[in-house]
Amino acid sequence: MPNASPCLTLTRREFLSAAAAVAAGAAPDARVAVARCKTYGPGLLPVLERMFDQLGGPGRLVKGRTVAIKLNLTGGPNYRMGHRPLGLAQWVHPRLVAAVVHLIGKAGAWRIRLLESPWSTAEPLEEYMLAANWDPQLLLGAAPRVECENTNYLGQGKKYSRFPVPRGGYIYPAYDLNHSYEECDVFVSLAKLKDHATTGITLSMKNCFGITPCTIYGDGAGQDEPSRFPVGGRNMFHFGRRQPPRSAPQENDPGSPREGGYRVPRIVAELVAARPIHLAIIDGIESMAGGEGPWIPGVRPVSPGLLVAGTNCVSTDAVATALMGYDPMADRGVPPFEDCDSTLRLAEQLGAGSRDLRRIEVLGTPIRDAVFPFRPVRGAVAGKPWERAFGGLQDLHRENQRIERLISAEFESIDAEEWR
Amino acid sequence: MNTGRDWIPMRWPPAWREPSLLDLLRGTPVNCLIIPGQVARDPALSPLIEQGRRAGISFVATAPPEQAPQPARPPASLAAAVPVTPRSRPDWSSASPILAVSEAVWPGVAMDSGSGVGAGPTGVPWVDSNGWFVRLATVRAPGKSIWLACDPPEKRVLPPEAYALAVADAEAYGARWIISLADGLGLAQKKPQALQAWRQVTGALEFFRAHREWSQFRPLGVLGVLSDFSGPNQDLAGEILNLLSRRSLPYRIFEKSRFVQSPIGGLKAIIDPDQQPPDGPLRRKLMAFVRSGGLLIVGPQWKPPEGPLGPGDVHGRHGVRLVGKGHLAIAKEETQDPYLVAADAHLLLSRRNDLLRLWNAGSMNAHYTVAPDGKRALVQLINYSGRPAGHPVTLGLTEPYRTARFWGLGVATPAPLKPVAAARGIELPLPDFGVYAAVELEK
Repeated sequence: MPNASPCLTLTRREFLSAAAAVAAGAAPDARVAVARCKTYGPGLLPVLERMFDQLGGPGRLVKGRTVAIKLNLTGGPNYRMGHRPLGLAQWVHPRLVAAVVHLIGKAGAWRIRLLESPWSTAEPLEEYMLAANWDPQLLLGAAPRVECENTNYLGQGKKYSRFPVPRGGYIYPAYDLNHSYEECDVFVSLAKLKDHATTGITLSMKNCFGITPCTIYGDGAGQDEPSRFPVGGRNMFHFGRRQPPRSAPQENDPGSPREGGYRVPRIVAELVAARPIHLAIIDGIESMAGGEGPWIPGVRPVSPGLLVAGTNCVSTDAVATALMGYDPMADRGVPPFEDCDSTLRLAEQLGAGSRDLRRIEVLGTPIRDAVFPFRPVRGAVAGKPWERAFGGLQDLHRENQRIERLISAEFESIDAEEWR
Repeated sequence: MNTGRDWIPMRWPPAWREPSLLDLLRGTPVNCLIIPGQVARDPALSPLIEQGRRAGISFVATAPPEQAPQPARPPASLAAAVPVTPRSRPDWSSASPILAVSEAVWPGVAMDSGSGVGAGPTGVPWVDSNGWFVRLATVRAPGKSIWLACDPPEKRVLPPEAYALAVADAEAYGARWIISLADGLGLAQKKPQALQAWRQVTGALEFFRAHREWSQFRPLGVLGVLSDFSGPNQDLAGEILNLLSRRSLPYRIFEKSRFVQSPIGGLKAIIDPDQQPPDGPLRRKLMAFVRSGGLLIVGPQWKPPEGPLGPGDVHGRHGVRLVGKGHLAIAKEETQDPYLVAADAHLLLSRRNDLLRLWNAGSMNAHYTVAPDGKRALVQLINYSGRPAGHPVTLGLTEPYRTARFWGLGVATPAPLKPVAAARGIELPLPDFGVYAAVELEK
């Protein structure tokens, strides 16, 4: 296992026994396809098509239906890690988006809608893409009847759609979202394989943090009603220093911890339980490690050369977590969740799916052959097992805490208008 | 009177009467010393002035605005008296060949009430720049030399680079900063920090002097801003220029009284934010522009609306009408918010028409110009943070230039840049730089 990370607690024996259990007839909870794909070149489409086929073919899921695809276009379009185009770092790559759209269109989708709530703006998604130097026509022309909507505000809808969280939710009992998340038959989360400063990892579930409109959950949200246009980010979710407008569902317990590592994983778990994901696709061909965007100090480019897809978001993210060299069964205090609770566990507890690799059938490339450690493996260091593996972990841990404090302090001192 | 075109002015502190202090200027481009009008006749200055004149230095007195446009004759020992008017009330038509304004802003990232930089982790910071004003001045007072008077902010310790930024913020747009070092810095005493700042100033001046041909380049832009830039329209129109710069949206300025005679080739949109809708030949020229395929963005006073309604803008702040091959976007309500006007103009025009894009340049403004021969172009980047960005800057251009060269302050030989083909045009990965960079481009 040359690529295996010491952080992944499953041993080879456990892997084999899990595979044997599935082979012996114990029905898996979910299937997740993993494939190697080195570039976004011509080889991408056949690889993705094979993965879709492994999952049973997209036709049964999308034929004759409206398919909404939530893209991960986090942060502003004018930030790059070094000179790397956004699709090679913090954003999903446009050619992967085009390939997904093409295959879903080919499988008979009636309509395909590309959705995202871009940073602090109500401008059309196409304009946001242009600012990143994407050509939206690449996506709009990849299949018939493709359209975009900015879901960071009311958009083309007449009213917000309410999504109750099963079992009442951890933080919020329900969320008010742009109509696009209700007016679709199939919901796809097209995410990036990345570390995250607040939640440890950002995959198909964390991508859904961005389905929430900043007119309700943003820094400039109204007190009684949603603001007309979005301003700023979602610090309400991170730090809970204010409530959403009174028109929206309020927190279950305003006395609960006001800490990002507690709140954000729970909110993400709630969102994917309230607005289930039918197809999770994770772009791990080219990415970044050390954080979710270039605004995080110390991030670096990585080329895992991987694609992951599945019909259950928890299981898909669990496999992706393992591919990143982390243990999907880990929880707070253990990488990658040093400062936060595990979104995987919290979503699992809401019934959104299983994170247990022994209950997931991995199709295509086995995990053990594809693990790409997102944290550098260093020499033996005395201490806990994960400290032995990652000598610099405590530094990273402290840095993440520092960043969160900085962001928190910054937002406190800034009037929403200044974000212009 | 000397036109002052080659003068590089410096505010000479009145207390510096010792002629030996002129040694500071030896070997530097500084060749013009500004003396306040009220002390210019002081006989105690005579030895200084006499020695300076022998060294080729011109002495200029500043005249208070009430003496403009016919400033009093300067003392015979001085080369000129230059009227100085506030930036908010410039005297565009003064007889002086030099338009000198006070109240110019000290360039930099705007500081708020003490809590730090006025922006967030992924937002774009507010910057203070004189660039838009200089560009407006070159249109409203063509042929004049433009001097900006702004002193370093008090009670702030500035890094030496801040002084190079003050030079770059003026020179990149074709103006001169009236050099002014903080009084307490100790240049006369040759304190190390003062000498560092002085070297930054003179180094930047030498760079721009070596590239003086760039000042002949004309601004590029597919968006025209049309206004009389006066009276009730002055503040809004001026701030629109400022905020278009912050959007990296290159623009061209048109003063209303000269618009009918002005060539408008290459424009795709014109914004007229003035309260009074134009009439006569001006209106006819604008409507001809629209009918031929242009976009005209106007205020709600534009009546009667012409043409059938087309697709509205995303924010619903304009009614967009189809006229001939083009569009007429009429604001539904009066706005005095220049941010909204600039943002709406960019959206209505669409980023498909962007000439230039920047990444990791949130604290920077770009000035995109083209040489008179049309074959060469220049993108100047002024970095108001004064230090290299956290990640290096990438410059995107829709024009597929074949060659590109990178200049930074203090660089004698440019570094060739390799254009990278992008989805739209080319991208140029730039090396790290602090205060200023220029990219020379050739088709």
